[in-house]
Amino acid sequence: MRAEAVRLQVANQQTDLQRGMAQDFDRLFTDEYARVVAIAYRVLADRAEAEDVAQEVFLDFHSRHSKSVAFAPAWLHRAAGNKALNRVRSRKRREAREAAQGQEAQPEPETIVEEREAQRQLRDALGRLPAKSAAILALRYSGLKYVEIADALSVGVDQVGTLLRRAETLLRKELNS
Amino acid sequence: MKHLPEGTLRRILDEPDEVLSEDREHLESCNVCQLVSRDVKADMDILTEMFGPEIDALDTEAAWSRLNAEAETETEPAPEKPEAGPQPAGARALLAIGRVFVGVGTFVLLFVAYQLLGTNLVTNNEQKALAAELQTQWMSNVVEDTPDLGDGVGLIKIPKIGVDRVVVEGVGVSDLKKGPGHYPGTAMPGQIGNTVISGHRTTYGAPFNRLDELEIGDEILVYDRTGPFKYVVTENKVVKPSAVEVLDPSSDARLTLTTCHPKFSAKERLIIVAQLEGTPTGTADQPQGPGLEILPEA
Repeated sequence: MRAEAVRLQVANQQTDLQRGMAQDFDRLFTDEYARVVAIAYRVLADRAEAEDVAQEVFLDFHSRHSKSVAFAPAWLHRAAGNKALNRVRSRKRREAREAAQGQEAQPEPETIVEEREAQRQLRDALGRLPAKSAAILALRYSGLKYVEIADALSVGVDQVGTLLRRAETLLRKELNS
Repeated sequence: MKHLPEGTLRRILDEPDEVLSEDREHLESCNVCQLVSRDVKADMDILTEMFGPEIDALDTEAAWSRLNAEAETETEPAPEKPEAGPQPAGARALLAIGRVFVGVGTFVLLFVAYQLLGTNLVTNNEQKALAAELQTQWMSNVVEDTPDLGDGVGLIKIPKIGVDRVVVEGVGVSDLKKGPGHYPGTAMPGQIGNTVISGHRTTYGAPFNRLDELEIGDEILVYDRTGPFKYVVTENKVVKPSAVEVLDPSSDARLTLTTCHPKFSAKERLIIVAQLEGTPTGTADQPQGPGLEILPEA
């Protein structure tokens, strides 16, 4: 009888805790969703794909880390950049494979083809940069503050300017080559 | 003092308030850092334009529902994946039309961006090359006496109207394509005398496009090898092209800016006069000024 009550109480506490966590996660999602998409969008230049990446990022976070919301934004930002960059790289590989097999890429409306070309050059160049350089560009150009970038990449905030500048020089070189 | 590292110059562009005030002050007063800062900014501007606009309004609530739906299908034993729900043909057509609109819209935007970027590139490249030369010159110990026509002589910055350009020697058509030009024979920046700089109102980067917005008391900064000079606007007027007296030597240390007026016309000239704040570096050795009969078009 007593044991039953205790078990009930424990169970209640647990659901309270879970509810609390769910609320935290809800808030985290509301606060960070737009920025996570923005970061992925910088890399992919494709709205739907960026939103897909954001879904993956939040699902990942939820299944791994739902207890610690303190470092969550930094984790989400870094994951958004990395996942998006991985997609760009595998997209590149897939295209190369399809080209090797003599397959035509999906036929696209003519207007979009040219736009894609300029955008593709930038994204390809981004994909060829060292991972950290590419990530810092995605983070900065989606509007993150230097402090936030430092958190996401686990570097000192004083280093962000230097790393960013180096990444920009690299990307410009990559685009000119 | 040592020059600022590029990382600091980069951050000043994004978050000036987060940088040490002594670093900001150093940049204000350092001709070399000004040049490097321009390079850093040029790269940033180009990449900003290439990355394009940030993504616009997102439907966070819809995304939240989607996430919850996905989370559930992950935890539940996966049911037979339902084929994408039956979508009414009307909705599909609308979606397709919407996509085409978005596609065309994005294309138009990109095309405009390309136009702006592409046409400015010519002047931009010239400016970049000039700045690089200046940087080498200023950091070396060799002092050249008078600049050749078409060479860079310094920087002009007018914070209020966003001017930040390398000034070239000469006001010929080919000089002004590169940037605002210093009238040969007029005083050099910082000297007692009349320093005259002319620039395009439209085309070729249009450095002096918004010169008409300057009011008495506004700041103009000029950097050359000998240092930074701060001028304060004292006069803003429109004259006939024959009013060459604005080029006359003066007994004060003044800066005169000239450009065409009104925009897209050569009927008149817009003149800005500013006075040096602080001590002049010396006296110009030009007794009678450039001796022109008409103010060149710009």
